[in-house]
Amino acid sequence: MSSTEQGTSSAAPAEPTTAPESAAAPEVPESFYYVHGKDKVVHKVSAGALQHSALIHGMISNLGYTEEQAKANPFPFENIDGDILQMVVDWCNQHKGKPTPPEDTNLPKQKEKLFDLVLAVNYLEIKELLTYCCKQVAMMVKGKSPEEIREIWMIPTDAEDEAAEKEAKKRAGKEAAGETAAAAGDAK
Amino acid sequence: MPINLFKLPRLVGALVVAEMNYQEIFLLSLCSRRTYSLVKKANIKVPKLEFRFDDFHGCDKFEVRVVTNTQKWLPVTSLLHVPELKLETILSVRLGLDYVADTNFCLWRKKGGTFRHRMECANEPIAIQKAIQDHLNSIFHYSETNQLYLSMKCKGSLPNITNVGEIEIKHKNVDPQFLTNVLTTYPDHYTISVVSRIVGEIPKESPFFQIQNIQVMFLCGPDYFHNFVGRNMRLDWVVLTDQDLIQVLQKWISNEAYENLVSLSLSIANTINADLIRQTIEFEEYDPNESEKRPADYVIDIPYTNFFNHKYSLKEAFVEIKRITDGKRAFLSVGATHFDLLVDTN
Repeated sequence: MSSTEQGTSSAAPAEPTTAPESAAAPEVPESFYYVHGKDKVVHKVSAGALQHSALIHGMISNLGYTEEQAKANPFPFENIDGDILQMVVDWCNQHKGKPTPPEDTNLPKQKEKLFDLVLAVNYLEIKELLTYCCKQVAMMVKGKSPEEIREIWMIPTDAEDEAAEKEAKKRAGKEAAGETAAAAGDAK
Repeated sequence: MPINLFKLPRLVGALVVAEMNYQEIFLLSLCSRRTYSLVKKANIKVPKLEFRFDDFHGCDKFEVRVVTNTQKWLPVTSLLHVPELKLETILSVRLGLDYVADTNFCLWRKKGGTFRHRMECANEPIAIQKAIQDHLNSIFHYSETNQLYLSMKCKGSLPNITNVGEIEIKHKNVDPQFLTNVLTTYPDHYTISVVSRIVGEIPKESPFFQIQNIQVMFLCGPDYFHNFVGRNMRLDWVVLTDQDLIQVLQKWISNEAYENLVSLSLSIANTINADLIRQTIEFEEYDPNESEKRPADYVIDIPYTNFFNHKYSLKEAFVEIKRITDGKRAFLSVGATHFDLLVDTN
């Protein structure tokens, strides 16, 4: 469960809750950390949920933050849109301490967000969610012809690739020539 | 909403490929040189490839499947050799880096939601068949032997593929010369399954009898096993005499022949005298008090088609015989219409 600490995230603020523990298990206080994306909206996430992310897990494992320190030092992920980070946090919370099923029905369904979600999940190193996302991407071309696949995945034709390569080479040549001229000018 | 596949990190692109089935991977590899390269980098492997050469409404169809380790098959691609392309909509496909073919492409949904595709192509069959095999070997990093299914209904020349280990021939009749052609065209063969009627006598020196594993599903005579020098033979409908079987057993026991034999399994079209055959040899019956003397089961692991009896229970139905020269033992079950000789390879 995440709670919005500031900003105007669409996610409803809520108090953190913990997964039900067995009666016999001793009560261990759960630690929480704070993350924010490009929109600066801070999400409070339990260490258990964050274990899904190899990146964050690696970051927090040696910190030993107190609650106050963690609150004061949210992890900034400036390259991830706020709504995407919210999706990721929600997924981590839903799967906290649970084995991930082969087919995940909790995966965000918004196709238009899928690309950003894949990038974020890949960056945060959330292996299972990345697999689900890749499955979703792969599903986009199920039953499609090569031409349709090209369209859906924006695959340039060989001719387009060759033209782009030529253009890039031309541009690089021009830039190199410009730098040489500038260097010669400096030398004078 | 499209996604730009090449804007994803390369590793993620490879993960996406890994989530696709073999057919989709093949179609993606046709899209461009970059997708071909991406697919190769995804390092997808196949257990075994099967090439099927069959008839489809009067045209030769060249189909490729993946055979799984549990002998299930999954589609990869299907190519129909046509004299000319009928549809104006042309899909130009690049196989490997160099071979380009114009095709009419069709794709349809089957019951259960799975998809199939077919490419119709008027190019020279031997050229495009080779290009397809090279392309698949490349994208699936495949270098193992292939299975080949040949329908005798096909009109064109034998498919131009290499590294064929297992061959199945089906439909109509085959003559010994055709068998020789097949075996010389595909010299890496080690298993053949003939589900067509073999018309004419196969010469003793034919490469057919040198094959390691043979299955014949149509009527044949005792010359098949008399001339056999391979490891496993299964004849599904053989006409023979008691003497033919006695000869086999005596030759095996004395090591006069069948040195490499592992299994000989015969379904007999006529009736034989099993008691008479057993009386001519020395054997040891199964002793339930000493069951540990034999393995409980005997498994023949040959990918024959239509082969249902892979596993034999080596109990009362089998007696044990020994080869004189080296003491090698074999298990024999002989009845009015069956004969199974299974050599202990452990």
